[in-house]
Amino acid sequence: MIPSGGSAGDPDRLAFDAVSVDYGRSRVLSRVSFACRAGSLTGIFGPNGAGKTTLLRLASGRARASHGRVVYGDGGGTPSAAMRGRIGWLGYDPGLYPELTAAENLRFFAALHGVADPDARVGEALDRARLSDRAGDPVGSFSRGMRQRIGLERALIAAPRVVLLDEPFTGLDEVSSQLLLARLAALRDGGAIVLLSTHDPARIEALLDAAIVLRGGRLIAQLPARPGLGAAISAAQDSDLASTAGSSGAAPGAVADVAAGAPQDAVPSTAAAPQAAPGATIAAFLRVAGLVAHKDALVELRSRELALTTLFFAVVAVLVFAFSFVADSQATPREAPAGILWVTTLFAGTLALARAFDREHAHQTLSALLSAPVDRAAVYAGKVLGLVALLAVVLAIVIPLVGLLFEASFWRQPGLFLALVAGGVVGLVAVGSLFAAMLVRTRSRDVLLPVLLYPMVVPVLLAGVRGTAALLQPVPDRPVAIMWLSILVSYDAVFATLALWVFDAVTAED
Amino acid sequence: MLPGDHRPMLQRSFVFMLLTGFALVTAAPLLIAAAPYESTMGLIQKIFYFHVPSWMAMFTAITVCGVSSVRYLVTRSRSADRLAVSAAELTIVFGLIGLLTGPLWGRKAWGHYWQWDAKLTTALVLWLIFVSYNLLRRFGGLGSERLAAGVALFGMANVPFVYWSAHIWRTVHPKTSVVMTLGPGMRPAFYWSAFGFLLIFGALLAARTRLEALRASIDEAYLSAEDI
Repeated sequence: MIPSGGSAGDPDRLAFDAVSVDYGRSRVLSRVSFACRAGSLTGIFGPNGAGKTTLLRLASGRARASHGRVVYGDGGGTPSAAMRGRIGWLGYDPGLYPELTAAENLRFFAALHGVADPDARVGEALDRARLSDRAGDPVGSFSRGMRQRIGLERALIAAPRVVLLDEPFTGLDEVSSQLLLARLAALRDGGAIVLLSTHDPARIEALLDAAIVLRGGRLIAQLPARPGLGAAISAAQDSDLASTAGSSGAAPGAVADVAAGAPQDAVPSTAAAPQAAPGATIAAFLRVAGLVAHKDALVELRSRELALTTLFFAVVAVLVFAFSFVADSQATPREAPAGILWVTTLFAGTLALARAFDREHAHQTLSALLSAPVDRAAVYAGKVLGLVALLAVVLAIVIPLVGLLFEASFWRQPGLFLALVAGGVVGLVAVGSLFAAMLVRTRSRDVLLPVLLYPMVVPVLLAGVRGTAALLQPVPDRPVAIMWLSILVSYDAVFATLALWVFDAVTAED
Repeated sequence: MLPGDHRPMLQRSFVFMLLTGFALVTAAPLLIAAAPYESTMGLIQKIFYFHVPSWMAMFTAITVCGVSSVRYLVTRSRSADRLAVSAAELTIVFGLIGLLTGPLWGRKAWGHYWQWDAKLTTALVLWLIFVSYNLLRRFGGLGSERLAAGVALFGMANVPFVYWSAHIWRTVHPKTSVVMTLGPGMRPAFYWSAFGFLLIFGALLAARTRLEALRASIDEAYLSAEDI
């Protein structure tokens, strides 16, 4: 008899109940049913394209079943925020920020997961990764194997009870592989449900409680632990007529345990378990938003990629406008500087928004961020804060440049002008961050971001241009500028609220 | 397996289609032609009987799209998504009618086809948002339906700005209250025309949604074939 999993809310069983996953007219996983108990290690095997990664993504909540369901303990469906905190995931990419050091990466994710005593936890993690001496080095300078080791520690930083590892031996040398095997054994003995995919059954044969073999999205064999399991897995992979016990076609609700766990020792999760329901309060919301904004600031300070490219682009845009409009300064309309300033802000902002989220996507860090047991709207708010700060830096240079080239006196009403700029930038970034985040996994995203964003932010552009132009009149027209400012504030309030509300639903990976 | 009733669309909705056709056929030659000329605009005022109903149909389409998108985001109901994408396409159609008939009126009333005033600009922007919705559905690839639902929500949030823009700002466009000030002879033509436009919207929405359902059933048939 397997005891229930550790602390309250820990799943003691992970079950796939006749799950299928469809992508358009292609079924990449077809009616797969099996279950694993706490304290077990299950290997997932099969050739490329068999559905191994899709199965792991399903378990992690990164994919949604088209049919059937994934059951965590007693609850099914998409994992809740609290359950996300109990799941550790390591995909092909380790999900780390290359600009941050190993210690900073681990500390950020520990804080995001609400781990108690994060410094001690990070120290232990670095020791386990055998990278304590490189704790202060940027992850970008690490080899593939070193990043994989830190990535594993990132996935395990909150002592998850469901551990999902996609090809975890990738890039590891022999010593690191042996240490990973020992770590997997410890996780299993500690009561975790461990699922991993690998192409090398012989390497983990001795540890396996069960093996699942997939081919073409179908479960073609479930093999219990026994002598010669590695050979049996290889035979099943090679055979066209493998055993199908309990596999495809199993009726929903009748899920057999393929991996019954070993009796558990004292479960270590309580020592470093996430604090209860982070993200449930305004304080938690602000804490997460602050963490994300601080992390973005740190990344940007190290790389300066966004600031320099956005600034360069903005300056070039202003110069192009200057060449176009200032051939005869007498012919330049009085409102032209306002229009040029705001169009430049829009173009530069689009560039920054696209790159900011592309960068997160390229390193799979956005996925790691959204998997944390926090209010995803707080992650959105943190990204907005970071991008507003970035555009503020860019505009600190662009505004004087436009003023100089077009002889525009923006500062005759400094309070009103700054309020207009702030309102416009917040509106642009609030809507743009949502769209950039939701488009990040979409094909044609480079084209689609401006296509979606520009019609939506036309009111920002109009209010910004008209309000600024009112201030550029020989006698600044304060009432008109205030009227446009009030429109900007209304726009920001409506659309930022809507974006906060809808962010979770449209950016979830399932 | 095709969903629901298998009879052809026209056969299943014969009475509804008949009513729609009757409403549209009778509106122009009978009621609109019989309505009196407006004193300053003359014949061109009769565009009003197409222009305003087309916007009414567009706002209805946006509301259907927005509400269905909320339902899709909350429940992941595929039928809600099918309704949303169908309504979004009709937003383009009816918005285009409004955008084409408006300038004809404007040329006579203001001397220009287009004025960059608040009402016209916000209406154009709203239409562009739903064009971008459809581009996202067309080119966004798998999973774009959820993203498009977010766009639809933002589009729906713009509707009050468009509707009230003529009241908030000083615009050349007539206020929405102009409908209530129509002369008695003009009202039957207007209301009948509006009724006809809403009927044709309903008919097109039903047909387009049915098409999406059939497409989904074909997808399902392909997927079932993979399971054999």
